[in-house]
Amino acid sequence: MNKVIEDFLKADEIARKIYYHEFKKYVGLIYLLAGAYAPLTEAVILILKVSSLSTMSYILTGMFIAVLIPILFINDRLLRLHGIISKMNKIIYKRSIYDQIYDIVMKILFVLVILGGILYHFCNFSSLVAFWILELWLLYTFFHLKFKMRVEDWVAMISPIGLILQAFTGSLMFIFVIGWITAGIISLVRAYGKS
Amino acid sequence: MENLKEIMEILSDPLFSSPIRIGILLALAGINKITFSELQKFLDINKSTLSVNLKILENYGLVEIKTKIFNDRPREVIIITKKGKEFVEKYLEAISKYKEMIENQDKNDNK
Repeated sequence: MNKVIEDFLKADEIARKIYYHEFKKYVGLIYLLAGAYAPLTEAVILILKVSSLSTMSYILTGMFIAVLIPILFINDRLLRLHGIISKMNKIIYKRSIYDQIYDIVMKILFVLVILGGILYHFCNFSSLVAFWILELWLLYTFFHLKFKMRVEDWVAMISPIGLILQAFTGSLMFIFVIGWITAGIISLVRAYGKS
Repeated sequence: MENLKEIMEILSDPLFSSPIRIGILLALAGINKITFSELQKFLDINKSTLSVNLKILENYGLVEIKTKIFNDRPREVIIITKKGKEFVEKYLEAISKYKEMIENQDKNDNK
């Protein structure tokens, strides 16, 4: 193989090792923040009910924003990774028909979820829609950056089933909570550890 | 960057003779900064090899190496400069065009 291309491929491999650790840090924090949101909200609701304060909706909106802002901040860094890795990927990989189909399906899902969010804006589901968007965005990121999904990532991708099941029994929401918090901790351990 | 001469000039720069240096620059273009110890741990290379390569990048003005205090301990932080980011952009553009040229050449040879 040509020396210039060979060097680029080696450099790409080196850069991806560094990116992977950074990526696991970002994703780990997102899992933890999103996973911790629901139990924290439940705890606040309980406290407020006991103390019979009337400012509950303001406090809950405040909590949602408090979780959303750091997630958006981390996401901004994730977008920066997207930019540079996409350029590297364009040089190495040829876009297959599957890539194009995946792209289209993901975009349709994004639109559907956002539309769903608008429709349910005044219902309790609006914050859950935000989690679905986050879930889709993370899936899209894994696929585009060509990072291998580890066990904890699969757990995080599957556990939002709890968001659907909680319609039947509220406590099933904890499938999502436990899944994302566990995935967050494992991701951060991997990011700061050796592997 | 249209002609072959310009592409080859960029790619034959001694800076690009080491995949380690290119790899570090490519990574920093996306994450902006990293500590020396993290870089050494992730790349699993010895301290002196990493130091030499970082010194070359610093001499080119592509990265800055600053000592910062974290938890009362000094740590070296490597930060990409504006020139470094521009260099990465140029490199990626050059390598992309170069690969295209090689592929076109191969197609023509096969005909």
